[in-house]
Amino acid sequence: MSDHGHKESFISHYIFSTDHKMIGKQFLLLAIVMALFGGFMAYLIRWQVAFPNTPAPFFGLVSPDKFNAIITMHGTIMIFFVGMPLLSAFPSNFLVPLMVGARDMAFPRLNMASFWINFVGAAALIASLLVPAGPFAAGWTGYAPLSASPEYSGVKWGAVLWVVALSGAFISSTLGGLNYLVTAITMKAPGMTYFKLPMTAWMLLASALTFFLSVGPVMAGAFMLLMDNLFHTGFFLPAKGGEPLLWQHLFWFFGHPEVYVLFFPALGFCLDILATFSRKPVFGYKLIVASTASAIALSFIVWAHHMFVSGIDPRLATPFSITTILISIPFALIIFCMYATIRKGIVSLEVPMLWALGFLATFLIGGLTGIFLGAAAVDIYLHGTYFVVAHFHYTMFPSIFFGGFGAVYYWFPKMFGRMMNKKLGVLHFVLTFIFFNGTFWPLFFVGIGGMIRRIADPSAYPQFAQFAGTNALATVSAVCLIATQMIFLWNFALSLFKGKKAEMNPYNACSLEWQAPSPPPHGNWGEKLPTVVSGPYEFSKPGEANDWIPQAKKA
Amino acid sequence: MSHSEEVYYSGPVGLTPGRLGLWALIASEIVLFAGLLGSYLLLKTVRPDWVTQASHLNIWAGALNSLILLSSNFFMMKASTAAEESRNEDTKRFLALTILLGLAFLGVKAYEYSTEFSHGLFPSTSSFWSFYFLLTGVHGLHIVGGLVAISLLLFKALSNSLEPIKGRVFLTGLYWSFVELVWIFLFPLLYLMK
Amino acid sequence: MQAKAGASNHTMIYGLLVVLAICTVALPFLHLDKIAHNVALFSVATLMAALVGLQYMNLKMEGPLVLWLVGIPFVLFAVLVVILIPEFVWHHTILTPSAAPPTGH
Repeated sequence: MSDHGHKESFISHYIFSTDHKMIGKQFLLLAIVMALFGGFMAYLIRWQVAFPNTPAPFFGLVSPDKFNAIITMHGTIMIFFVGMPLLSAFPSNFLVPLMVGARDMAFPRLNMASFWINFVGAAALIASLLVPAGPFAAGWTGYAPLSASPEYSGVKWGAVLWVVALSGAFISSTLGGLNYLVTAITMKAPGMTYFKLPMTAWMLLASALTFFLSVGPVMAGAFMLLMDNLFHTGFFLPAKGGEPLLWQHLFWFFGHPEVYVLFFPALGFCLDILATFSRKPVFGYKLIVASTASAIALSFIVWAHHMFVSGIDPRLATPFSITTILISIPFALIIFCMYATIRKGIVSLEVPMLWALGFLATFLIGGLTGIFLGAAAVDIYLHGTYFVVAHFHYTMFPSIFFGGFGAVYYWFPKMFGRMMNKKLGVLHFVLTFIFFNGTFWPLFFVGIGGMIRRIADPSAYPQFAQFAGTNALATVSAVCLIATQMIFLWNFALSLFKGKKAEMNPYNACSLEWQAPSPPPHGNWGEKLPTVVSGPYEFSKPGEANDWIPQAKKA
Repeated sequence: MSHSEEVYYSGPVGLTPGRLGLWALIASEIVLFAGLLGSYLLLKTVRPDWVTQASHLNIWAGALNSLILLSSNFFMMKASTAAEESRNEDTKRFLALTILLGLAFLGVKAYEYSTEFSHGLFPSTSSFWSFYFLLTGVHGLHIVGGLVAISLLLFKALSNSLEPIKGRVFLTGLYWSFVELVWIFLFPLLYLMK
Repeated sequence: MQAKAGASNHTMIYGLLVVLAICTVALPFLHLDKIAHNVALFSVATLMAALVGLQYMNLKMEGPLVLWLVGIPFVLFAVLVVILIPEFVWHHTILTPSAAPPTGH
């Protein structure tokens, strides 16, 4: 429904829309479609590792060349075309104007452009699956010299399309980030201040800022990689006077802040969800803001902890270990605040709450295991093993999927005006939680035991034979994990058309987006902008009749 | 439209959303050039042969381009002031001069590139030439993008429809000054540094 | 506003920038030693940049929000380069064939 005052066609309403809510939904749809590709690739990886050299059902034999391409595509898709759209683009687009009390983004047409640029990037990546010599296969981290030399890697157009895809993703996220920041700074509703914004808004903005300040060097590196592949330049090739490690430094200068770009939004969603379903304010609001700011600052000086065994100057190892261990402090503070938020609250286990609690439980393990890897001496042993794979899946999966699903289930009523099915939601959560842990928990031990990652055929190494049983179990769990997601897709699709109609504020939450209709019309707020009078977490205030006070004055 | 009141502005006094957005874009671009220039600087310190190779660069062409770009930027500033004061004829003239000088910059660059190619100096020749073509190439792409934006403004001015969006002339000028800023460092770094 | 004053201001700044650009090109003819030459080059460039930034881009009129927004990337530039000095300037990996002999790490 629109009240533009002119007729909207299908194209201008659904395809080339400048409405932030539609653009947010477009990003959500993109994330879901790309997750299907990424998830299928995860299945292929786990199949080959557990049952080497047997054809994978619905695909065939995963040969070593294909394995390298698949692990590369899995990582690239999950981080840039699932993680970024699901955790940054979709929620920022849909929620930021609603949470600050604006009618739309500051630059609506630029916003539309940023979606379509991202779409072109995604299309380029999928197209690379079909080019001669296949897709890029040097890992999502694209280390040189393998990634820089088509003669060496056998892959040229795949590499070119990979760089094009990443460029699309980066430009899209940069333009989007500018939009979210300018909107939040300049278009807050009357009465709204920074410290009256909910945590989700803060974290989405922190994520956007961190992204566009860190993306430069990797963009520089990507240009260099493109030239090495296309024009036989020698940025990263020693024989031509280049420096292979230059790529790694440029990549990780961005790559490390990027993982926090993905983590902050998940933190934000969970904080808001925990508050709503504990009927308590977020504990330590200003402490969380300060911790986030210090984490962002520190995130720019930890990057070489990914490179302890790459051949960096040994004098860099200790300083980077120190900064890496330091950065665990602000994050630990935030996690403590999350526990304190729930403590002594009136907890109701609605589906979004389950995801937030699941995030807390699983991310804790991911964060703690990061400390082991951050100490150079330990990392020398653990680098490149399945311990690392388990660590980053215990941070990324909770962020992207536990946090992402939490956000989708929580804001679904606002987006579509309908409720999702609770029974299917609980089943989805329980099975995902069980099978996620079943897949990745054993991999810590396999990694400590010495099994190296990114190996296409473990059966070629007698020392890995002892892990065969564990790997098989992990794979069975992984297949079940992927199959479980069909429950979500079914619930999502069913609820879109047959879900119970949602009221404006089904969870009795305080933040401003819950005072717009479900779903909000074009322009969000009707005749007059809301006037904000209180904070985002006025739950269980002593002396009040209701256990929640909405942020804006009743009209 | 159903909303009758003006858009409510909550930012710092005197700062428009467009200007804030452009500065944020410039901030991001600074880090991009930091990656490019920083890499060049670091590697240059341990590659003494780069200075010898740089001597093949045409310093006079580079110097001419510096003056061309400075002048182009100057006319963009004049166009910006003219637009602010709604002097449409002046705006058209200065925008056109900006574009012409920008094209001249690209022309000189094209001349340099073709001379270099004819001497057998390609991006693949050595790491110095890789960096030279990359840095000037990325800068050149930014020039092209800027010229497209300025041309759109000129088009609006020519059809006398610039008035409602005249603030965009200043914003485009801001971007154009940034492109100038990059060249101010790029030229000495590549052509003159020992 | 201060348009007329701004206009002559622009012309004066332009004049200064042209002079400084000529100084930049003249520098090699002074045959200074490497460090003095590079420092002078960088100083002139910084001065030109300051003129463009403060005057043309009106940074001197902007408030703290924009100043922090523009300042932080320069800090990041410095962080990137300074931290990588041990890596690329003082330490040669065994993969680099040119320049100094291997250090034996």
